[in-house]
Amino acid sequence: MTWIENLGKTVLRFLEKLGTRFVFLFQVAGWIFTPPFRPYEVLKQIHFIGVRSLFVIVLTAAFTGMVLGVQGFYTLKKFGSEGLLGAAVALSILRELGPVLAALMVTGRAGSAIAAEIGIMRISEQLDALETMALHPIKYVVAPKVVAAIISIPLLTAIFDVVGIAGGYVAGVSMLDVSPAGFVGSMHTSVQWKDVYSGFIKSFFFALLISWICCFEGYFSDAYSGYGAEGVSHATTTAVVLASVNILVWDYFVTSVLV
Amino acid sequence: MIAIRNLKKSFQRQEVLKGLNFEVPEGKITGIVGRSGCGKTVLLKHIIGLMKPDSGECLIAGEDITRVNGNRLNEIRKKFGMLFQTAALLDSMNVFENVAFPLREKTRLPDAEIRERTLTELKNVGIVGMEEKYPSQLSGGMRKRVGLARALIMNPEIVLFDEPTTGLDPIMKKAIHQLIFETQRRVGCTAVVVSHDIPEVFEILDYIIMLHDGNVVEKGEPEQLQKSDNPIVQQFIKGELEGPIRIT
Repeated sequence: MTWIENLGKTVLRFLEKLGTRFVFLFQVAGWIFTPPFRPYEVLKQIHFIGVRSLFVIVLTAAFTGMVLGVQGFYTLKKFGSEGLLGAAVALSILRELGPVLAALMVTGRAGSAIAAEIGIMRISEQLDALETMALHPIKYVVAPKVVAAIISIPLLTAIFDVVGIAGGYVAGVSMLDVSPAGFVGSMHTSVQWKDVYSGFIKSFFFALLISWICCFEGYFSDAYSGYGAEGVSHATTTAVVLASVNILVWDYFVTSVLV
Repeated sequence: MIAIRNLKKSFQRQEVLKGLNFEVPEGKITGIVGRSGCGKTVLLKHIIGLMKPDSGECLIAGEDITRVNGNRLNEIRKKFGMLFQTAALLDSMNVFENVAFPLREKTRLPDAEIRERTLTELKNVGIVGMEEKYPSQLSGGMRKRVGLARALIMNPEIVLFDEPTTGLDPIMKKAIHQLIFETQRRVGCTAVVVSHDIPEVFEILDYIIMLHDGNVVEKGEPEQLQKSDNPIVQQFIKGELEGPIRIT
């Protein structure tokens, strides 16, 4: 009987947490559109999530593009199609690698920090203090971060796309003797507007996922992750793992719809 | 102003509050005393609506705060100021910004007036020339003073103090007690002080409610409590190991 009880408890706890997640998401959505708006706080968060992730995004994009250039050249050469390298690099980055890798990088750099920051505010009673001042913590702490993520992550994806394609160009044209005209020409012929915006639709969903999951884990760190520093540490780890896995899972579903 | 009726709260089958009944006198300093872990902070969080009870009522000026949500809850909370055990200052803001925060967010006062009121409130609690410092750069006593200034900036009718002297040296304890006393007498608010600083805290209290094992075991003026023939009260006041209170 005990194992059935334990199973039941686990299922109930899972459902309860899932329900709380969605209630949290609806509350965030409600507070985002409730005045007074806090543009300065949103700008601060855009600086934190967007500007301060720029270096890691540019670095990752450059090397991803270069590796794609080298690997793509090696594969295409077997079929005598080196001339299609530009198209292969651009389509891979715009449709798939740009949104996914940019989202994973932001999760590691900013998502973990968001979960830890809100978790510390929870355990040090700062969120309670806001409530006692008749200020809702979701409006003052969570909503600006979600808005900033939804603005920043698609922009970071755009930068990833440009730098990644440039990386592929450098590897293909400068190091492997692919003709510049062939690289750009094949890209121009193959890439359609739909390839560009489908990447941005993905990055919008990823931004929502990252900010929702990371803010939730921090906000409820005392309820679901344990108490004190250990609770915050657990919440941060859970946030990063869950956001990363969800990015990959949702990538499949969004791709299936958009393809 | 504050009336508690049959308030019950449990956490994972552990009954923390077992049906509390009492009233807090208006315009006075009321102490809620009892051993660590007896439910004092939980009670305070119910009074300000941060926790919902399993049953019972917390009447604030006749309205049950446990049954309201959203805007109505915020309206009732505007009557309150609260000093947390850890001061709970927003650590990304400096001292000035912390104290000015409620004014900036909840009023449309011009910057000059916000500045003037904030500096006056800081001066009232003895913080001068430290407006630019961050909470992590302050001592425990200073953090509590800043927390008190923030709690008072909106001129609340009720101020709650959650163990305001925990972790402070004896001199700073005395200073904070004195500050609470002077502040209450100056602004005339209803103050509720949760503490286990016995007997030091008695000096500033007008009325005391003692909790033990989730129940009110005694209430009255400090002199009444000190003369109480309840062995639980006597053991607690004298800090004796032997008696009905078992150390677990």
